[in-house]
Amino acid sequence: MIELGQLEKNHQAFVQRYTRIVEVSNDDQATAKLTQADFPHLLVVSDAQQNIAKAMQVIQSGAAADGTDTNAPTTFLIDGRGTVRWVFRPERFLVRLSPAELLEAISGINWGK
Amino acid sequence: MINPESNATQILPTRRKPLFLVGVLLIVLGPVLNFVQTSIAKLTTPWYLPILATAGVACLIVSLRQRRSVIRIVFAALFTLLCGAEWYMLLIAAKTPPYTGPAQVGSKVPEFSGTLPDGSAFTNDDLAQGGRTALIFNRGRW
Repeated sequence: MIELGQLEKNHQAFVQRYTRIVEVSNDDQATAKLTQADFPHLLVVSDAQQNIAKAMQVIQSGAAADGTDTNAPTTFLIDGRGTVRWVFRPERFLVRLSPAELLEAISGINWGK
Repeated sequence: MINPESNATQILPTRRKPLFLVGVLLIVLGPVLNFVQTSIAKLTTPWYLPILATAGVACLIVSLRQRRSVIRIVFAALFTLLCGAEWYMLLIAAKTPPYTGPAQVGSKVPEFSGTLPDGSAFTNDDLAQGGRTALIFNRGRW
């Protein structure tokens, strides 16, 4: 949970940019509750049935270690009207956006009114 | 007459550079660096893993040419496999396809529904209530 820890640590910088962090997890609700307790400034969403992942089409088939389907790491920046303003997916799943990179992306977007 | 001193000099083995050891160290260095990289949460592509392993395997192969033993051959074979696995991982297995889904820049997010830890629903409508959101999907589970 390195990424969540880093995001939690930098949550104030996201607040200053009027941006909340929503982490979508394949975990069930009980596990999401535990994760939420560890990272209170992030919003953890349980997506055990992969409804969100399917709707957003971020599932990479057969990419999990056991050969099952799993989410391809993907980050969306969405404005207050529900419009996607920025999408990032690394070339390799080993790569993660650092909080600094995410903050830079947020700052670099013309969010409009 | 045989000169025992010069004879002794001839049978002394030539001292080789410790290439075998250097090779093993190079190969082991990769995972150590990767552990450090992960510890400091710098999650970038660890190209140094297969590069160090390749350099290490090259050292092992050269050391095999200098002196062969079963242990060296076994180590060289195992580390060559490891090196190949590392290249395969980075070049093929870890690749993610480009995003081609419906949530493209300028589009509205599609309809969805998930569950918040308190049991309430989290839907696409929650993303259209005035605030900015970084919606993050990660691989696997927490």
